[in-house]
Amino acid sequence: MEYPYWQLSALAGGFWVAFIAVIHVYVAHFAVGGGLFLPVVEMRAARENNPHMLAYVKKHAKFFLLLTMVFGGVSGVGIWFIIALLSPQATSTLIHVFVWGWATEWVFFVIEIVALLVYCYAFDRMERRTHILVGWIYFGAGFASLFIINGILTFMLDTGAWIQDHSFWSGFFNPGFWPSTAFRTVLSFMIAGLFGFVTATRIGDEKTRLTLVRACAKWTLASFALCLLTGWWSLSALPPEAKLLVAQKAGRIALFIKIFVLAGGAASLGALIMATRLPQNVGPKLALLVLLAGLVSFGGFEFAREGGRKPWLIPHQTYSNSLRPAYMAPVEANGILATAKWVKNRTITPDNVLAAGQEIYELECSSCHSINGPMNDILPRTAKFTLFGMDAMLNGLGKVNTYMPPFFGTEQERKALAAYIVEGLHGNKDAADKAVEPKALPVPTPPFSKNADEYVLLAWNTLGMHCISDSDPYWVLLPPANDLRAVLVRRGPGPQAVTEGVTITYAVEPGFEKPSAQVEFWKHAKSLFGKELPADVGLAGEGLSGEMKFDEKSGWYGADLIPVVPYPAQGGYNPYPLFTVEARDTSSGKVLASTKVVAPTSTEMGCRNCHGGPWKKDGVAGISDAAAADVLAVHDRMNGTTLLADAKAGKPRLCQSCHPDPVLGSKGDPVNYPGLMNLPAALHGFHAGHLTNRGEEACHTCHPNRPDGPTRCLRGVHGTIGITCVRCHGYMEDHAISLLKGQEGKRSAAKLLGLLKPRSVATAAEVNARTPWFQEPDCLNCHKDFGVPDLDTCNAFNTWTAEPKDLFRLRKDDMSALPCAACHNSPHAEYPALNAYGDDRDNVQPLQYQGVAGPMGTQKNCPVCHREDKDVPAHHPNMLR
Amino acid sequence: MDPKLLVPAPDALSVPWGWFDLLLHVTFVAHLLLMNAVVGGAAIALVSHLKGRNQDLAKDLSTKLPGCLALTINLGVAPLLFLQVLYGNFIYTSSVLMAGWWLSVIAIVMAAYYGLYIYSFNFDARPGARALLVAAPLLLLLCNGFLFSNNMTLMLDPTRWTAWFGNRGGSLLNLGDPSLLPRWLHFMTAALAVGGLAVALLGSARRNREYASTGLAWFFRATLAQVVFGAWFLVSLPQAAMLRFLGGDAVSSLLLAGGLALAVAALYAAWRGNVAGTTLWAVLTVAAMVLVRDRLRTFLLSPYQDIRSLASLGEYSPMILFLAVFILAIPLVGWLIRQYLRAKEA
Repeated sequence: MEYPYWQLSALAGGFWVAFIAVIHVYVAHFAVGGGLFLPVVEMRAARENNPHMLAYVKKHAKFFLLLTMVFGGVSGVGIWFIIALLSPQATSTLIHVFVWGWATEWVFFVIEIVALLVYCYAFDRMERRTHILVGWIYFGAGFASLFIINGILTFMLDTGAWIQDHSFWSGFFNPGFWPSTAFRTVLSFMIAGLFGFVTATRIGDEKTRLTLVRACAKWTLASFALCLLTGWWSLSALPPEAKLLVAQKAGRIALFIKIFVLAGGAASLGALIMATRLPQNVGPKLALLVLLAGLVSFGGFEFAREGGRKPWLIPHQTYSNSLRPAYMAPVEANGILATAKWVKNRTITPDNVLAAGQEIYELECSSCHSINGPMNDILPRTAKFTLFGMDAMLNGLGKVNTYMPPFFGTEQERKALAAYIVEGLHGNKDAADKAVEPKALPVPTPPFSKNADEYVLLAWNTLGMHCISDSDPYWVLLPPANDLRAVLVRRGPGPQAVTEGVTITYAVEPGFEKPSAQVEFWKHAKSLFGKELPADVGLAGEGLSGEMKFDEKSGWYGADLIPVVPYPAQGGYNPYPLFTVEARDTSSGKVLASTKVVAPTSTEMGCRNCHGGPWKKDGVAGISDAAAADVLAVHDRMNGTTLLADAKAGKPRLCQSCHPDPVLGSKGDPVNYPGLMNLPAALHGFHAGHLTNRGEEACHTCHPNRPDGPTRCLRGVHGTIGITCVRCHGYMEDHAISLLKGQEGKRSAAKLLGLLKPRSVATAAEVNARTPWFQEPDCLNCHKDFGVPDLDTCNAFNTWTAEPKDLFRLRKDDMSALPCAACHNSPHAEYPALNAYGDDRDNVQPLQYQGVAGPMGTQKNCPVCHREDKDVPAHHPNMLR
Repeated sequence: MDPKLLVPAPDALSVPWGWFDLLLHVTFVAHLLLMNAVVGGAAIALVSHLKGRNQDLAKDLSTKLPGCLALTINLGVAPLLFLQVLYGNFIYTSSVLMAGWWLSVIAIVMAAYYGLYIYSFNFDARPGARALLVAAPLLLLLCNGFLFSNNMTLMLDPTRWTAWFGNRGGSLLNLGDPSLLPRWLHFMTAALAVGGLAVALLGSARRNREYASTGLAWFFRATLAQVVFGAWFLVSLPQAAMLRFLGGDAVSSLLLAGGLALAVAALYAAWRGNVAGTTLWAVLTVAAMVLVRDRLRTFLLSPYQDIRSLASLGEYSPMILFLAVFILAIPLVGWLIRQYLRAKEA
């Protein structure tokens, strides 16, 4: 914000500080540990009167001087230089808070330099006891400088009370200080042992060589054991956010800790081997290997420390990209391009989108991400995203996974950044979905004789759309499972629903009979649902054609979980396959009535918008393997599961095998995964953070209602007059909040709830909880007394049906004679519906029976069932219009 | 574009500005003296090899230069610390603009440091290579000085910072500043002078008249050259700045005049072969010139910031800790040096 930046690409992401710091600190720990090593061994040499050992100490001291004073000292200044280059902001804070700490450390440096020079140059001339004392003074000063710098270093992991009182002492003696100092002290002893090998293995006198190599081995092993203990202490002292990151294995922190342990173990093993009687020429080479193992181990430790500190450089004060929480408000108001001082593109125009995006990238991202380099290369991490997906990713950054800071900027800036990454860096132009123009499929109206026919057969689909996740080799959340219902009305004054003596059959149109040839659901049904299913048979035993069952409780006929899929045998995508429904006299077999109904089913589930990959089928629908796998990869990363590996081993799972879900009647897995949110709450609650401040386009990121897409499921009368999803179901944030509020106490529910800001009410407290699938917007919220609503003011969000029987799809008229859906059709396809595959594809029955697309009986067509005119609104008020 | 808009906001101090300013000047003077001793010493050693004279002096210098550089670096860290406290928002900015060059300072100093050790360790074994072995670290240190002069002048001129918008890769320098070259030459010539003084002091300690007179001769000639380069430095400054030292501002003019007077006194003492006297006047001259340089910095930054108005949080206890440790360290360091000298005599 305040400072210019050093523009790097392949070596961005903190490469230089990692390089300089890891090497310097390795040598610096040697400087401290070796400072103890020298007087201790010198004392032993004096006590044992061993001239070889004394000569060794002198030689080691010279090595020590050349390495720690020159390389160690200057590289330490190098850290100062590089941190000021990569984050002047954070460096300025550290300098101003800890100037006197650094000044004090400097005094100890002076003592170290003088003591070491004296120690080395007067080695043979000085009286032995005095000389040893000089060595101890050096060690004391060295340890003091470690003590001081560690206060500053640990401050960067846990600012302690400093964040409130801004006191040097609170910042220095932060909660992580003592455990970390213990750890680093023991670590320096271990490193002293490792460096000791380098010189000890070169001693000519065999006995002395063996003695000293063994001494180094003891130092290494004992110290490594203590490292594990003090390291454990340090981990336990981590602040809660850092602990969470480690537990979640965020950013490979757990990997780095593993590297520390394993490489340290390797170094220890090497030390053990060194302690055996090795031939003289092997020793020095093995010593260098052991030293390298130590460096790798040390690097693991430092990277783990850096990881645990994310997303901060200075917790709660400065983020890793040098932005501060204090800047969020002005940046949200005016944008980062207008607020930061060193910016060329102050506003975004159509001509400079990529240039502006690049500046935003360099301001906010390149401090941690290289481009085609070794540090957190941004390219593979963003390869899967479309422009939309990249923008959605940035929208949700730093909310659930706090490893990264949040995005700072306006929505326009966010989109420019997304464009820079997707188009500028990856060269992916034109990744948006293409507009689809489905071909109209004609549906000849079935015949009906107003005079002759005795029966009216009404059939409908329950939900208005049954989505399918055709990602079966990886996971399933909605299998092929459509529901059809039917009612046979005997016409006449006082029409009756026929409930016995008739057989109602259904049969899908040609081309859709073999869904098992189109999707892999049957191949994986055993793993997904725990049952072997015959091909083309659904989970309730129903096939693509068959006999409907009569349901006593509701009073109508139905067939459940018909496994129709939108992929006809002749190829392509058709989400509205037609079923022929016929009613026959059971004993005579005579056809009493016949009609057609759409069983809407779609695989236009938009996972790919963010999870990558193409559309699987025809470029318009279907979840590709790439998208399906990525969904699991992200789930595994964020929740510590092994779903992707399980799927690859042939065991894909049903999402609801862990997450409860009313739609499948699933209780989840209360034994292995107790307390999980139901699936709708989990899905919407998580994704809402990535899709804020949008209208219905948030919904059709996943649901098949893109206005120029291949399904366009909101096709009923509401859709045709311009009412969108959000008018009934609420904005994405509000929708998610209503689901999360029903999940109090479940894992992560409170956390996700806290991340969402409601849109149509002031606070989340005002949003009413709802059980998914069973509590939906009540039509009567807008259709007061079944009348025509005020289009400008009506809104069905936040008043839910109380019980399932109140749902539109399960409700009956005032006389309990007919279900609402029989005359009005299913939700989302209410008569008159407009279908993308032929205007009247959903309006078959009204056109068949009354010649007019509209609710059954509209425009005074009561005679369709009553065979006479009626003037009393008996089914429900306000029906006669 | 108004350069004021580019200047980053400064952070608050822990104690009032005067404490940091005092320590900045004291430690910077110490650093300059030691740096001059190393660079000047190396240059004198080089010349002795090229002229085939004074090999004993060169040998003596070769053993001392590495240790001297260690102390130079250590005493460079201190003023760098206080510079960041008072002028961090300027020095960080100019450093970023020349990031690649600035980072290379670390490699250069390390190479020069090892180079001086190589020179020292190989002095007897490879007499033919001596000139080359000392020339290399010398050249590196001169380059280092040049990079420092770039950064220290760039930090003072926000109008030149807009160059970043054309080059963000950290490869900018401040070559367009007319005061850069004379400033650098002035500082490097000072090294020759003070290097000579260091040699003279060495000669005094060893009771070697030849060293002493060689050293004083270097001091004398280099200081005369200093006056020329100093004048060039003065006239290369922006007019308004230059005039302040020529009567426009009382304190600035008095400091410059005082510095010149002290230099004359040093020259006179050197002429008379008075090592102790030359040392005293020379150190005071350096101190005066550091203050002159500080006046220049303050003036050039006056449109942007006045360090006297930086806010202070008033937490004194950490500073008291530092002062206590510092005071306690003095007798300890003294003891160490005494033990060393005693051992040498034994």
